Amino acid sequence: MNREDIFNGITGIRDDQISEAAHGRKRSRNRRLVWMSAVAACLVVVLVTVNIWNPSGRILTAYAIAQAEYPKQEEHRDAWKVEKKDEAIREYKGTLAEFEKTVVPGLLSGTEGENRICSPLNVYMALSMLTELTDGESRTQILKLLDCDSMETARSRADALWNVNYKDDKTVCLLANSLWLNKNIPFEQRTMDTLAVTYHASSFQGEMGSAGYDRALRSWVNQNTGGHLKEQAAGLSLKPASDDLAVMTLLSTVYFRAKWNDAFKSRDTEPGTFHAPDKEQTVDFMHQTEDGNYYWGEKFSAAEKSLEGSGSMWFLLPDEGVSPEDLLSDEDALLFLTDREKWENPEEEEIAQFLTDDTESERSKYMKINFLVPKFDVRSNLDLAKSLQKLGITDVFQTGIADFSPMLAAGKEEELSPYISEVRHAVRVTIDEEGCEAASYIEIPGAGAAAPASDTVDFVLDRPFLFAITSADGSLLYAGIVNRP
Amino acid sequence: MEDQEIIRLYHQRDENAITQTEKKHGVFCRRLAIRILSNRQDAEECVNDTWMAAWNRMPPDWPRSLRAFLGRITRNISISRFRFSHASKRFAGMELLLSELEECVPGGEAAEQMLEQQVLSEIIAGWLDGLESSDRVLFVRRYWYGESVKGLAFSHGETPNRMARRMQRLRQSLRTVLEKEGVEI
Repeated sequence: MNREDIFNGITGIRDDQISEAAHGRKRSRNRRLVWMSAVAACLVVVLVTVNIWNPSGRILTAYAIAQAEYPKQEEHRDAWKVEKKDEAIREYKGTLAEFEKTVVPGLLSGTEGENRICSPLNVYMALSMLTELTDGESRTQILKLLDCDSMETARSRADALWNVNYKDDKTVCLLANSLWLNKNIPFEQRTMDTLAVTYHASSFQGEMGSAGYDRALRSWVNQNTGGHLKEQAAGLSLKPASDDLAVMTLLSTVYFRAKWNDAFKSRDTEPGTFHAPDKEQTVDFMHQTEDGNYYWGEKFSAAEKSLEGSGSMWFLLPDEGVSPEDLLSDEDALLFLTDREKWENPEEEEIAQFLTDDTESERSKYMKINFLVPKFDVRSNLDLAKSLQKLGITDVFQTGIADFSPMLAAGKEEELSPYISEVRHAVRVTIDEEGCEAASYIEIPGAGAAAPASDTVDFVLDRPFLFAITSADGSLLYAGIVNRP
Repeated sequence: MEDQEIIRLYHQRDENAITQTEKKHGVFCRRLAIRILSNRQDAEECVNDTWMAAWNRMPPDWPRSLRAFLGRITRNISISRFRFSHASKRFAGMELLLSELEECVPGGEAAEQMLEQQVLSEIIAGWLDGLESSDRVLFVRRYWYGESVKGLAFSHGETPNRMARRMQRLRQSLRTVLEKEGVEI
């Protein structure tokens, strides 16, 4: 017999001995009957225009030239089995985390006391689609931000992201894309076909700025975001703010709706005080005690509420004296948001030290968590143009420099010199006793940073905090700062 | 989600079972693997292999404790990986655990070469039953969960040196029992 036999012998000791030594307790079987849901939706709108006055006043409705089809859930499950998803996630996980780490601080900073939300996944998909419409340095700049060395990589990653995240049953996670083309401008059909196949993008043609075309656009947004962005979509128009002529609008949405795995009981919801940046606010707080992992970083504490079907909602509470925006410039907090596995597990050298010197390095504990979470319905509307330019995507915003040649029929590119005039990002996230709902679009026109002493912790979100909604693969569907629930 | 519900998902061949397992037990299994292998990437692969193994074993298995079931798989996969390249310096975690456990190996030239793991596990489990509750918990936390001596000392209000001596006494005690059971000599 050798020492490995002893190790294996210990592996086989009884379950009750293993459980006895565990930190955690068994989960309560008292499941609540009423549950809250979490709903989120977002949209990115990219508006591509040219410097021409548009005299059109006619009203025409849109007609589709390519209609994306979504797979049935059962067929999709068969086509994307666990092993295939696992392989795909391994391929893109690291680079996606880097992308999230790069863009989130830029998109969420500068709140000035207001709520701010973004969807890194939504931005990623919109940018990925833009690579199909651009060429030359315009495309290279985008590929660089996406960390893709070729168009093949960009396509396969976008396809994998779409399929890994796609869910349309009790839980919904839908990434939808569309193109709204000016009917008077000839487009390159092959590019539209690629977008339809790889990005499940529908294409429409119509009179830019006409009431009918705008109505069709808003209807598409509402349909693909469960109506969750209705108010924000009401202001959407294909008519540029300036006198420019709109050539094309790219729309990308992410809609997410899921119930909590362990719902809050509505009878435990009570009004309480939320300490907003400039005043105190009375809001409804949901209360629940749940066993789960409690995390503590250098400047924050965090806990997770898991969502049915897939994904989780994460709450990061900054320590006293630290603002949510401070966390955005904190490497430790950003790593937690974008790559918890890496955050949780020390680097190899540190591990070796931990094992040889017996240095304590744990940063989470499975324990009883008393959640006190404000109900909220937060929205934000961001102009992404400046943020993207800061991240190195500059050429597509400049007429005469932007290269949209793959989008237009031969010869039209030089004639029109299109460029992106606006990139808007609208997001709304709602949570209640049942779960969470979120939607977004992109239009391209208590002191807690210490290990808890006991096995129970009060996690009270009564001051500004950060949240994130992650999908089954861990990617960041939404991240936001709640200053006013 | 309750463990029994997760197990039911496995039996229904619902891939959400893996999502829920990762969510609930991912940190636990990852920590186990990393304590043994001392390498984040290797540990991550072991945990992914654990999910695949769990998927293949349920059905027919219906574990009473999913956490213990997953932990055993993780430990087994981790030690296989350790064996594969144990010469590497990277495996400091496993080396440390094994070097401590060496003290439990009964002496004598005629030590049994092969002892069924199940029998050995039963002997160890019986020995654990006879310990004071606090000693039993400490031993399992150190040698099943792979927690650090310093961490255990901290949580029990003892100095690391004192905790190390306590562990040494426990290992000696186990060795005595194994010898008495005829494992050696």
